[in-house]
Amino acid sequence: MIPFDPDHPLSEMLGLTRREFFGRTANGFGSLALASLLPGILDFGRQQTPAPLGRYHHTPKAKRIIYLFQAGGPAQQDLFDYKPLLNKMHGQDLPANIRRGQRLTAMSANQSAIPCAGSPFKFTQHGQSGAWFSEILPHLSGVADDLCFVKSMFTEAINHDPAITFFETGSEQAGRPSFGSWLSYGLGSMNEDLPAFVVLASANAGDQPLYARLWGSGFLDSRFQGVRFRSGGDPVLYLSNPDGVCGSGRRAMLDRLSELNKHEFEKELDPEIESRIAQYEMAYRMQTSVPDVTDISKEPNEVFELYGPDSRHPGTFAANCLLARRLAQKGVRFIQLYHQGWDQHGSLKSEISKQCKKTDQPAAALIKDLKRLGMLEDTLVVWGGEFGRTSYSQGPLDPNSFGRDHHPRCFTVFMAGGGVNAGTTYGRTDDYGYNISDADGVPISPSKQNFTEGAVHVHDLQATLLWLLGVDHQRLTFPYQGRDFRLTDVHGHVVKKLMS
Amino acid sequence: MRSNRRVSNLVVLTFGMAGIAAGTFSSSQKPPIKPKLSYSRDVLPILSDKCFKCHGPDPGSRQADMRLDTSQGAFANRQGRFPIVPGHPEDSLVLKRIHSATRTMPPPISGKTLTKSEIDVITRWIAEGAVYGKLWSFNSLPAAIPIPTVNNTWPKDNMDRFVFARLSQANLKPSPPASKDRWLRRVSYDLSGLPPTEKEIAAFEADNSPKAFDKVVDRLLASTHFGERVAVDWLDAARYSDSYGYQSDLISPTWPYRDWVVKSFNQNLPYDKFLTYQLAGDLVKSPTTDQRLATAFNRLHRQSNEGGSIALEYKTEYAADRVATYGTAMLGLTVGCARCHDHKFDPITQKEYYRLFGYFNSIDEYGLLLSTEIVPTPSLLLPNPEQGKKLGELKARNEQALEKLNSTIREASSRFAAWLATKPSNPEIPDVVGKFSFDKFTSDKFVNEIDGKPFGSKLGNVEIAPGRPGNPQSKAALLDGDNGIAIRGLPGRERWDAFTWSFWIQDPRSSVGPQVLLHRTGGTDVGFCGFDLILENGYLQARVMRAPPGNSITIRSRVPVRKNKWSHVAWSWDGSGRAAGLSLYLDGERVPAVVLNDKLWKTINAYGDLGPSGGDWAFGQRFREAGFKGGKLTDVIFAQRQISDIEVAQLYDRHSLSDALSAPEKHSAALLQYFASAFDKDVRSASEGIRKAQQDLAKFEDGIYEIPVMEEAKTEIPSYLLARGAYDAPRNDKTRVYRNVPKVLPALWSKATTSFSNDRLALAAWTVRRDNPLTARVAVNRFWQMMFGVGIVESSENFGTQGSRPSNLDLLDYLAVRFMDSGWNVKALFREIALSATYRQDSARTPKLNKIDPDNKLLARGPSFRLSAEMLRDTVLEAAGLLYDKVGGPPVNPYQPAGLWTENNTMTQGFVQSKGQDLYRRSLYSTWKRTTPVPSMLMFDATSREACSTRRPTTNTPLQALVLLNDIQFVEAARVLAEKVMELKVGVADRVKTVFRCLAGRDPDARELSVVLQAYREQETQFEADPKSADKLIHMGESKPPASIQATDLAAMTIAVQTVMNSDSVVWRR
Repeated sequence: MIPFDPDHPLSEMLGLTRREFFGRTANGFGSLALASLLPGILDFGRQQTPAPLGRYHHTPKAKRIIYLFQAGGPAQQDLFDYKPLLNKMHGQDLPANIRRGQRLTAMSANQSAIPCAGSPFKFTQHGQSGAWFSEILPHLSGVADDLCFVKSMFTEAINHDPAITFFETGSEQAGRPSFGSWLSYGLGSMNEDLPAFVVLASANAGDQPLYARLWGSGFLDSRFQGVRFRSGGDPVLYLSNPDGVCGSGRRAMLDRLSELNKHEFEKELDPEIESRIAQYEMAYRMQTSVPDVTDISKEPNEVFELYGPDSRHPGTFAANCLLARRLAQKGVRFIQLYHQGWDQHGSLKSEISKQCKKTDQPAAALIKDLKRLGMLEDTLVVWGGEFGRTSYSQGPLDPNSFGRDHHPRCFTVFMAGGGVNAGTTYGRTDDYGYNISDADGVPISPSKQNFTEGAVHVHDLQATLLWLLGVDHQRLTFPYQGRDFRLTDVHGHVVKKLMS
Repeated sequence: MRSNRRVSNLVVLTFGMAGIAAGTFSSSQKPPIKPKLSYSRDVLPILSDKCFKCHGPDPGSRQADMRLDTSQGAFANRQGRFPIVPGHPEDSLVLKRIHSATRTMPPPISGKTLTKSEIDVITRWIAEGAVYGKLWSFNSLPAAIPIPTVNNTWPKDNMDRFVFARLSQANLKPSPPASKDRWLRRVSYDLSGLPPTEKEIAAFEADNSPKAFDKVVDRLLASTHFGERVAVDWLDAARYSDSYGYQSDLISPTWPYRDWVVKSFNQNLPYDKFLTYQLAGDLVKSPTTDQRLATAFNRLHRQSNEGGSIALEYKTEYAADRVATYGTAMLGLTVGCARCHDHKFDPITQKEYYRLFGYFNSIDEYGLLLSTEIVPTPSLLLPNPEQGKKLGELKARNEQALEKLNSTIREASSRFAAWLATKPSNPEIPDVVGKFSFDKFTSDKFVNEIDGKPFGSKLGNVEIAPGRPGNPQSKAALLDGDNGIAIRGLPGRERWDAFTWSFWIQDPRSSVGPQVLLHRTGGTDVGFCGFDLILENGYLQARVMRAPPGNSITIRSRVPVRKNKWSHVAWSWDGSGRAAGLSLYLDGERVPAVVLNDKLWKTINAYGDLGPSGGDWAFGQRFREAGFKGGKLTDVIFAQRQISDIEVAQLYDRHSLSDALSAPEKHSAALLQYFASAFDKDVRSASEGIRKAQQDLAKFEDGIYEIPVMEEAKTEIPSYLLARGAYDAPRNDKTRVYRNVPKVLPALWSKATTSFSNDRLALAAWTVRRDNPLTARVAVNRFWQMMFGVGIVESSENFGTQGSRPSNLDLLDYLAVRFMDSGWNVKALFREIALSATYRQDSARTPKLNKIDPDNKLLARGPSFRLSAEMLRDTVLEAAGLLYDKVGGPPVNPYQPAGLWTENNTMTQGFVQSKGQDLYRRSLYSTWKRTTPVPSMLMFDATSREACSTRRPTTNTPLQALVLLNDIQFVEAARVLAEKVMELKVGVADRVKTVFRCLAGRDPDARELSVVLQAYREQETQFEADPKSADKLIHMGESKPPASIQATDLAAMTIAVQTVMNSDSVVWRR
C-alpha cells in the first residue's frame, strides 16, 4: 500500500488537499476512487471517511452481513410455516376466497384444478421461542432462539429472473446496482487487502441460474461490484501469476513498473497515476491475502465437524459458510452466498429434503461459530430466497411427484445476530399459508406503496438491513439519468420491530 | 465517466455566471459585471434538483398543491401569499421558507440542502423579475451561430474560436500543442481504436509537409477500423449483445446488426439515415435488406425464455425498453421516467410516455422465446449471395411443383372417365392408416383397428364415458384438461407431410380461453412448434408453425362447434407450405376460415419432443397449457393424405360417397376430386413432387441466418396509459392513448410534411427534422465524448432538466448546426475535431489547471483518459502482431477462465474457446453474453449491454492490475512482442525502444529506458537461475514460441514487455 502522502511536495504542486484528492479522482468520475483502498477508514468509531455518506447515518448495529441466499424459492410450508389445515384440506381445491384473484404463472395457470397440498413433513416446536420447524431442519431448529423469523415477506415478481434481480437490485429489470455494491459505494471497505463485497456460490448446483448482474454495480462505478470467489482454479479471476513467474520475480517487476509510473506522474501530474500505483500494490497483496483466507484446510477438526462433512470439500454450501466466517473475520463487509436448487415444481418431497441436507447443518453451524467467536452480535446473517411457493400442488397431487409453483404473496426469511430480535417471529400467514394475514389469520393485501404493519415487502427488508448496517436507505442515493436512485426505489420502510 | 453532479454544476455555475454572451469579448477585454441570470442555465438546475420532486411537473408527488416549474404556479395567489413575487425576493414565500429556521425548504427529510451561492442565485433571479424560460435543450437550434472574434493565431478552425473565447473568459490560455507522437497515438485510438504501428509512426515523423496531419486523419477515416471503433459506442447505446439476457441467456443471432453498424460508419452513411433506418427501415418505401436489418435495433432488448412467464408482461417490458433506448440513444431524454407517473423533472407526462410507447408496441410478436435456433418473429432471413440464388431456385421449383399439380388435376378428367367406366362402387378411402374408437377399451392401451397393433395410450385421468347416441356400445374418452390421449407411431411430423384427421367431439365450452384439442408439437409454455388444432370458445384454429405468430400458417374457422352437441371435426393439410393447404370441416362440410398468417419458412419440427405426449400426436392436453376440459372424443381416424371433400362427408355421414358413386353423373365434380386425390397416379406423383420441393426448400432455409427485426403489426396494436406502468393495468377506452410526441418538443408534423401516416417512420422523420432541438446536439455531443472523454454536456445520456449544463453551449450548437448542414456527415465531424487546435493540445496537467478545472471542462489542455476494455486488448494484440483484423462475422470466444458460462447457469450453452486466428480478433467481436460478460472486459468497465448506456465509467481497480498482469491473453501478447524484438538484429536497448514504440507509440526517455533495461536484466538473472520457469512462461497461450530464441532471454524480455504494457504510458491515451 502506498497511500497518498499529503506532505509530499507534489501535493502542493498539484494544488490539492488530501480531501480534494480523495474526493476527485478518475477525472472526477465518482467520488470514492480510493475509499475501497483506505485501511480501516470506516472502522467502528472512526468515521472521518470521505465516502459518499461521509459517516454512518446512525450507529450501526451490525458491522458486516453474511447473506445466505437460497435461490429458487424455498417452500415455506415445508420448512418453517406450519399449516396443519393444508394437510386436512389435502386434495381439495384452494378456495377462491383464499386465492383472491392471484395471478398464477403460465406453469400452473392452465391446470384444471389447484388442489391444496399438505406438507409431507412432520413439524415440531423448538427452543424457548417455540418456533416451528419441519423435521428436515434438525440443525437450524437447534438454534431456534437465535433466529428472527419474518413469515410475511412478499414481492411482485412470479418468475425467477425478475424476482431475484429485484431482490438483489431493487428492480425487476437489469441495470441497477446490487445491494452489496450500494454498501461498497456507501461505506467503503474495512480492510486493506480484500474486496469489500465478496460473492460465493455453491458449485455444480444446477437449477435456476445466477447472473453477474446480481452482484454487479449497475450505474455505479464497476469498482463497487462484488468480487466472485471461486472454488476451483484461481479463487479470484486472474489472481495467480502466470506459469513460471515467481513471487520475487513479480515483486521486482512491480518495482520497476512503479518507477515507470512515478516517472510518468512527474511529467503528467495526473493523480490517477498515483492511484494506479496503489492499485497494483493492492493487487499484489491480494495475491497473498486471498489464498490465505480461502485456504480452509488449516481449520481445526472440530470446526469441520461443526459445519458437517461437506465442509471439507471446497465449493459446497458448507465450505462456503465456513469461508464466509473467515472472510468476516478479515473485515469483508458483505459476504453473499448463493445456493441454487430450491425450485421444486415437482418431486418436492425428495428434492427439498436433499437441499436441507446440504444447507441445514452449515447454516446452523455458521450461527454457532460466529456466536462462539463473539462475532454474532455485530454480524448480520440472513437466510431466504426470492419468493415462496404455492400451497396448492403444481401438477397432479401424487405424494412423491407433486410440487409447488412460485408464490410471491408470502414467504419466510430469517435473520440472526447483528441487532435483530432473536427468538421472535414477525408477521403471519393465513391458515392456508397463501396470504399474509392479520393477527387473527384474516388475509390482508399489503402493497409496497404503503407499509402495512405485519407485512414485509422486499424493499422493507432491504431498508431494514441497510438500517442495521448504519445506513438510511432514503439517503444512500446516486444521481443517474436525472434521478437520485436508491436501492429501495421510492419505497421501503425500516421495520424497527425486527430489531432488538 | 459519471461524475459527482454537484461538482460539475459548481464548475458550470462558476463560469456560467461570469457571462453568457460567449464570443463577444476578445481575450484582452474584461467581461461586464453581473449580466442577467439565465433561467435555463443558472436557475432551473437548482430548482429542478432541489424543488421539483415535490413542487414540479408530477401532480402525483406534488406537495401543498404548489408548483414552481411554471410561472403560473409560482406567481399564484395562495390566500394572499405568493410563492414568488417577481422583482421582490423579500415578499416571496419561497425565500421566506428557505430562510426559515423551523420550516426550512427544502425540508431535511428530502436530503437536499441549498448552498449559499444557490440561494443567492434564486434571490437575484427573483429580484431580476423571475423570468421563466425553457430548458436550453428544448430550444430549437439557431439557424446559424455567430463565430466569436478571436485576435489570436491559435485557432485553426471556428470550433477553436469557441473554445478560445471561453478560455479567455476564465483567463486561461490553451496548452501548447502535443508532441507529434502523442497526437498520432491519440488520434489513432480515437479514430481506429488501435495504436499507431511502427511504420505509421515513422512515416508521420518523417512527414514535415503542411498536410501531414490531414493525411493521417484521412488515412484513419478511410480504414475499416474507423467503423469498428465508432461502432462500439453506438453498440453500448443500442444494448447490442449476442445473448438474450434473461434466465437461460441463450445465444441470440444478432451479429449481422453489429456488422451493419460497422459498415454504416465505414461507408459514412449520413447520420439522419443511420437513425431513420434503425427506427423505421421496415417502413421506408421498398426497403432493402440492409434497411430492414437496421430495425433489429428495436429488437436488441433482452428477451425471456423462462418457463411460466406471462407473454403480455414481457411484451410490455420490451416495448418499454424500446422507448427508453430510443429516448436515451437518440433524444438524450430520460423518457422512461414517465412510465409510472408524470416525469418529476422534465415536462413529459405519463400520457405522453404512452403516446410514444404506441410507436414501439405495435409489433406482432409472441413475447417469449423457446431456443436459439427458433428465431422470434418478426424476423429477417439473411441468405448470402450464393444462398440467395439457391433459395430463389428452390422457391421457383415449389411454384413449378404447384403448377404441375394443378395442371395434372386439370388433365385428370380424361383419366377420370376411364375410372368411372370401371363402375367403382366401394366408398373406400385410401391412405387411412389409423382408426380408433374407444368402444372396446380394456386397458390404458388402445389398438389401431386397421392393423390391431397397439398405438394409443391414455394419459393419467382420462375416463371412458358413453359415446354418441344411437349406439349403446359406443364409448368416448372424457378428458379432464390435464391429461390426454397420445397416439404413437403415426406419420405427420414435418410441414411437407400431408394428413387428415377426422373425429367426433362434444364441447362443453368449459372455458372461453384457448384449449388444446389436438397437436403434434415440441416446446414448452414459452413456445411450441409443429402442428396444432386449438379450440377457442367453439372456434377452431389450425396452425403449422415454427415460430408463431410470424412464422406460421394459421387459419381460424368462422363457424363455431355447437356447444354440448356431438360434432364431427376434420382437419387436413396438403403439405404445400401455404394457408390454402389447410382445411377445416364441421359435420362433413368445409367451413369458411380466416387466414391469420400465411408465412412459413424452415422446418417445423425444430425443438424435438417434449412433454407427456412424447412429441407424438396427442388429444386434449399439452404441457402447461389448458386442455379440452370436460370434452368428449370418439371415432378418430387418421389418413396420410389430404382427403377430398366427399371423403370427409363420407366419414361424417357414412353415405355421401356411396350415394355419389351410385349416381356419378350428379356428383361428377366431387368424384373427380375424389378420383384425383385418391387414385390418379399422376396426381399422386405430382403431390409427391410438392412434398419433395417443400422438403428441399425448408431444409435449405434451415441453414440460412435469421435475425429478429421490427415489423409493424398488420393492424395497429393500441397503446394504453398503464397505471403505475403495470402490464396488467386496465386497457380500455378510458385509458386508450394515441401516438404522438411530447408537447414540449416540436409538433410531429411540420409544414413540410407530406405523408401523414402516424407510424415509426413519421417518428423517425420528426427525430431527424431540422427543428428537433435534441437529436443533432445529442449526436455531436457523443462524438465529442469519444474524442475528449467527456461530452460538452457531460451527462451525454440526459439533456433534460436534471442533466448537466453544456460547458460551452455555443460550441455545442455550432457543431450541431454544422453537422446538419453537412448532411449529417459523421466523418467530416470527426475530421474537423481531429484537426483542431483544441484537440491537438498537450494533455499534461499543471498545478493551476488542476486547481481551476481538474475535469478539463474548459479544454485548456488536450484530452486524456484510460483506454477502454476493447482498446487495451486490441492494443496488445496489434503491438504483438497477433491481431487478426477480419471485419465482421459471427462472434468469437477469446481466452477466458474455464467454466464461467455454465458455472451457475446450467441452462445455457457452454463456452467453447475459439481456435487459431479467431482467438485474436478485435474485441468488439467477442461474444457479448449478458449474464456472464467477458470478465476481463467487464473489469475494465465494459457494460453488460443489458440496458442502453451512453457512457462508461473509467475506474481504476486492483482487479484490472490482475488482468493486465496475469490474463493469458496479455501474457501471451507480451511474449509474442518479446519474440518480435528479440528477432531484431539490434542491441537490447533498441529492442526496448521498439517495445515502447509498438505499445506506447513513442520512444522511451533515458530514465524509462534504464528502468526497463534494469527490469530485463533482473528477470534474466531470475530465469537463468531457474530455466524451467522460463520455459513455462514462454509456453503460455496457444501460439508457440520459436526455438531460435533462448528461453531465458525470451522470458526476461516477456516480463520487460509486461512492465511497459502495464505502465501508464500504455494504459492511458494522453
